[in-house]
Amino acid sequence: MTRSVTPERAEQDSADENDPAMRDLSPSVTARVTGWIGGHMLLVGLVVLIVFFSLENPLFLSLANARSTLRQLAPIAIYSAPVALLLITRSIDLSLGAVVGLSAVVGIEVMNSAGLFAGLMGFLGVGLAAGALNGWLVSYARLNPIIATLGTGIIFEGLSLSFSGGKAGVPPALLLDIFRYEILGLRLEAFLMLTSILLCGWILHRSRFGRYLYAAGESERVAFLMGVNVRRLRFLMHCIVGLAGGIVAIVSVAKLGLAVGSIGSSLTLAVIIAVLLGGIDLGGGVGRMPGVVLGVFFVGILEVGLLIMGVTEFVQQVVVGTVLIIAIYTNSLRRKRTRSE
Amino acid sequence: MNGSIPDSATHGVIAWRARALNFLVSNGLLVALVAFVLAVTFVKPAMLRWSSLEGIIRYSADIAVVVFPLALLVIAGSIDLSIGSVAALSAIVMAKAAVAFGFPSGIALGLGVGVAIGALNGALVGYLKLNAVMVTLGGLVLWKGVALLVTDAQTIGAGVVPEALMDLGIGLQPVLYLPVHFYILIAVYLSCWALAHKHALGERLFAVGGDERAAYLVGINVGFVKFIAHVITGLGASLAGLMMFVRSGAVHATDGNGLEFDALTIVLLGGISFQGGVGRMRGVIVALFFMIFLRHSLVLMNTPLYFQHMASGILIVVALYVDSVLTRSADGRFTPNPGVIPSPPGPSSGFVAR
Repeated sequence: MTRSVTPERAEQDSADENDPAMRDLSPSVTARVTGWIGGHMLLVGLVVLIVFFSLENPLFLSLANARSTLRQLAPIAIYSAPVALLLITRSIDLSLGAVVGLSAVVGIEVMNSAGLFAGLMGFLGVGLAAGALNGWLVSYARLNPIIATLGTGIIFEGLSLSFSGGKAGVPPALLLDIFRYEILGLRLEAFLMLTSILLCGWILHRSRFGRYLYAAGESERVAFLMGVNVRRLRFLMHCIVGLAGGIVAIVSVAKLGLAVGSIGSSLTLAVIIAVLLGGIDLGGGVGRMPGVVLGVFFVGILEVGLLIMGVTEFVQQVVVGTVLIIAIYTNSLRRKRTRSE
Repeated sequence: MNGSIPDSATHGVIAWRARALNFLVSNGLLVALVAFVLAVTFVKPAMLRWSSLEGIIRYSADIAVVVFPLALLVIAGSIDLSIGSVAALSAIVMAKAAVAFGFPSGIALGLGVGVAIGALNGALVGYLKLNAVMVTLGGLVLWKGVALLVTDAQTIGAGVVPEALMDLGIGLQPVLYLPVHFYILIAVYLSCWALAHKHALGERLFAVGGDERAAYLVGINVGFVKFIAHVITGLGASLAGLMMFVRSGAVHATDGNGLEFDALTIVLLGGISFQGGVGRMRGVIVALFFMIFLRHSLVLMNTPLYFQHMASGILIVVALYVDSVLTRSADGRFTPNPGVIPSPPGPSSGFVAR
């Protein structure tokens, strides 16, 4: 199939290159400028947010709150870094939360019956399998990633419901103890978060694989001519995101002290919003890791700040929906500006 | 069919294959539906009893009023994921407004909410050229939050709907031997069918969905066409809210949960491609009955609840797969950038260079 598609695609992409606005900009400049503007716009927003919340409640700017905020946003951060890479290759995953739920429910069952290590493998294995299914559907069966992962999300939710029967699993004390242990005043999840961000940042900006990711998102044809196996790349990225889902499931279960199927339900939108705010474009090929980190902090601080203000969950939903739409809007503005320069 | 093979043998084969695939696309689902109904009837004869069929008609009208408008929107190359929340919110507005201003004006206000939200979506997608999936995903969360907020997560509106209307809504009072839902379903179907296949706007919907750039070049106001399609879908969503409200006589903010998935599954299953510009309304009505029969028989056969929930997810993935296989091979038109988010709006003109 690949071969028969290529000439067709060649036509589309050459039309793209004939456009004068596109031709003058080399991709790295586009990416850098976009990343720069995005990063700074968001930085201003972040400062405004922090000032606002500290005026509302002086306790907001305390060390204790900073640490609890860090814990709150750790799952989002661990997830966002690989999801950003996925979006850069021009795919997306909307089953993020459902994967976490399924992994949590199955993993805890394995952990309680076969020990801690096997349990951890169970968490990661389920995440990886779910990611592989998504990746296969998106890159090899070539389905629209948005709709396909919406569908698999429903399937994963149903599976976790059938597996748990709606009952919550209780993690063993050992797991909770591991995540309560502090090094340098920080818990394990903070280090996992740091690892995830640094690793994905290194892959994206320092490794050849990262350049392939940009190439695949920017222009499939060019990537293909460079000898990049775009399909395998997307498949791999979905697998990595699934694996990250398994890690997020472990962290979330340890944080909550319970394993329920709905554990990740609010995570999907939070992660997508963080990544979009961070300057990653739905069209792929654009964005940098520092922006994503800022996006994660923005979303995390917004969540914690609203919580401290005592706002109901319903208002939070309204805020989240609005922020998502604003994030897409600013993204489109930014895209227009970089293209017209 | 094989009698008129053209001069070139390969061309003949391709044409034959295309015709066979075409047949499958438009009638395969019908064959599957008939086979499926017969199979279920064999196991559970209760399936084809009149009371059961009546239930199916009543249940399908709820979703039908939004599925057909949504099909128009998908043909135009856009999408709406917020219909469930919009349905719930407009039903809530109806219930609240009915208390304040009486029942008929309450309905008008509720429908107005649907139209307004549709117009907002349409403006964001059509004129500001934002990604429709993300905008309406934001709407899904946003409007559900608003609905929960204004009702404080309470069920409201009990006793607002007039008794006579409730009887019609539940289907106790048949009109010409059939529940009133049947006529509503047919009316919405016929108007959407006429709009898509008999009206100039339909032509424009197909043109915009098929190739935005070309549609723009021939002088179609692309933004306006998408805007109108979103408004129609918003109206459809609030109609679905009205149906749910009138049937149960009360409304809760979570009433429309999952409506968007069911509706999208039906649209896809009905042969309307997410690439836009492809499909026929008659496929959608077959898909509607297929979905409703499936649901109904899953309930009849006492399958667990989580499986009934999952069936929708499985069906949407399968439908998507069949859709991608068929669009790839039916007319040699390949999906642009296979398996990828619809491309973002391009540079100055705001169009994707396909």
